[in-house]
Amino acid sequence: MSTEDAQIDMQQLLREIDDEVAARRASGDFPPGMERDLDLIFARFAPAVVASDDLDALLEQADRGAFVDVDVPTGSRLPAVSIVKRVLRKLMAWYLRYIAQQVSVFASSTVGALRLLGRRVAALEAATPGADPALRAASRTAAPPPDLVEHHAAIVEHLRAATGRVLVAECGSGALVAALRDAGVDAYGCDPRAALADEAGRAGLDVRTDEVETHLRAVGDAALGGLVLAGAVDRLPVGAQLAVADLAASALAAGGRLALVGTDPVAWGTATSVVDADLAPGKPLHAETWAHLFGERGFAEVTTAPASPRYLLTAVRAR
Amino acid sequence: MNAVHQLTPSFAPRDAIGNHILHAQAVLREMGLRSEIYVADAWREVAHLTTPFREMPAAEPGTWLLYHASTGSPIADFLRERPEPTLLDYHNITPASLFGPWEPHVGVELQAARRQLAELAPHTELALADSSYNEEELIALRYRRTAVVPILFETSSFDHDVDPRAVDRLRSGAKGATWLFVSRIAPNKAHHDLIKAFAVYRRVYDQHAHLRIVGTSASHAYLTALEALRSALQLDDAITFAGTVSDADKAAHFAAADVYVSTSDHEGFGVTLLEAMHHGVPVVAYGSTAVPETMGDGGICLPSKEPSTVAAAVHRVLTDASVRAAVVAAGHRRVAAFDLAITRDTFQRAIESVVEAGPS
Repeated sequence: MSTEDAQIDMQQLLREIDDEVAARRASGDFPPGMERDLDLIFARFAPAVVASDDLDALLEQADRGAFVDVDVPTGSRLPAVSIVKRVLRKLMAWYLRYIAQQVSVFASSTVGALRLLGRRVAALEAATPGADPALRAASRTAAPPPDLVEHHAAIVEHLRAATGRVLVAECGSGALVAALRDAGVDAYGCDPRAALADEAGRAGLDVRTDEVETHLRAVGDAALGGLVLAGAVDRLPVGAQLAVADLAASALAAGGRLALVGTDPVAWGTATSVVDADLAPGKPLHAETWAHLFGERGFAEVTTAPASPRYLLTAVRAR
Repeated sequence: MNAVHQLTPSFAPRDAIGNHILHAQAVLREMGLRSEIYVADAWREVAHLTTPFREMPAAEPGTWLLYHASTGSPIADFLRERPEPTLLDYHNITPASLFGPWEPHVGVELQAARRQLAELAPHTELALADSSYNEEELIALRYRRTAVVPILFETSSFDHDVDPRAVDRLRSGAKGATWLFVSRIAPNKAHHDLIKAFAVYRRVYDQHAHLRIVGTSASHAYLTALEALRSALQLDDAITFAGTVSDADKAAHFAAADVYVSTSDHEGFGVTLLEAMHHGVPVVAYGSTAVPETMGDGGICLPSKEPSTVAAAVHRVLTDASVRAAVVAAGHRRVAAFDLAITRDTFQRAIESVVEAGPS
């Protein structure tokens, strides 16, 4: 076969690239947390809105931008041009300053109004179950790491056939990530509790400090071969639970395998942590509800394994 | 119909949309139609080919207007006041969410551009799109009638006399692989993800590798952040921002490159992917937006741009001679699919379809 006729099985090649990545991770060439560290380095130089959704940081940025500088740079490679620029700046300064002052006043009062609005929204959030960031933070801190041990074997079995990376979200200190890796699955995890993610990192696992929703938004469409959802899916408000279902459908490639460990609503706050239940902005959904949501979003082979307090739902993203 | 005049916000030499407009003009004239180019702004070198849009004569029967939408422009508002039936050729508008955080004023302009695009929908008889990806956006904006017509280009326009000394200069001292990415430096092109992937590649596979980024900066803030990232990763000597280069220099960069890598988040088409393929450089790209459609099987299209995945894919294409040969050959075949004779015919048939139907 000549070079011109050479054909390539692209799907096979992509699988081999995934295998290479998995092998390099296993060998430590791609150390756990490598991607997270690179993200953090870039975040130091990116505007606040790129690196986070921090309203205060954004307003700070807007505040800095509210001042219009009329001191135009006059440098040039050609000395004559520089002189002309300086003369022009001097001649036009009175005019530009007059305009700039009005723009600055408008911009700074707009930022002030936004700050006021921000405070009012914060007050509204505080009075609205599920919307208050402080409540979400308290819930996250109070929540115990997801206890998935009773379903480990079934999840590993379901995900063994996954092609591509498998995300466990939330993964706590990474016991399930380790079990999947031991089974030859290219798994990594995310958990919003930095201490747990760091503990997993020390154990040689690739676990990133991230919220489920934030992380799923960051991965590309069809980027994952498998996904395990646990923990946060019980505590999120119902709107956010729907958003997670949407994000899971986007992030999984065709044929991608999904496992969800949810808490039986009957056992919520009785067989599970009372503090977690009290502080959670939302409540767990029944297995049937998740099955309905995933069915609507193009998942097939949806099955549930009832257990108390936590059931296991598995599904496959339709091709 | 006896005339189709084109209108474009800006007209520049050596620009994909500019070349497309010239090819479209040639097709329209071959169809026996009068066709002039009206602009809001034109570079001096090509201004003689154009007329300012404000100088467009009063409407004549049988005249249609074809607007090239790629950014905000007073032309969009001007068009809504004109009585002639309107056609639109959509080259995509960068989502403001990708650009705005870095350059807020550009973000505002892009939002305005998308508003204009939506407002033109009821006035447009037929909307052409460079790709199905672009077409979907038009359909979402309720354009009644759409068609995909790839951007018109001649592969010979990619060929320039390469100065061997320029190639030698680029290769001098190179002990490792050379990555190349050609694009304006803008947040939606995600150069930062390319740099992350390159850092991983150097760390694991080739400590002597070099990344060359060719293209002018469209965002000072973003370029500054990229330079800071390069320094933080201690890659100052390994990554070159070449800026704007001449056509001959660009060809030299392709000649000196071992692999073309793109981690762009947003492409309405992606001519430079095809340019790399034409030059026999294997392409590894993240399959966002219209990239998979443009690349076809002409390169390695990745579902993820995790730095480890990109690095491993590049390593594979550079170390497996059979994969490299197959990817390069597939690239040549892919470029042939966009042969000007084929795309001109597609464009002509689209125009003829509205001629037959007439204005609604």
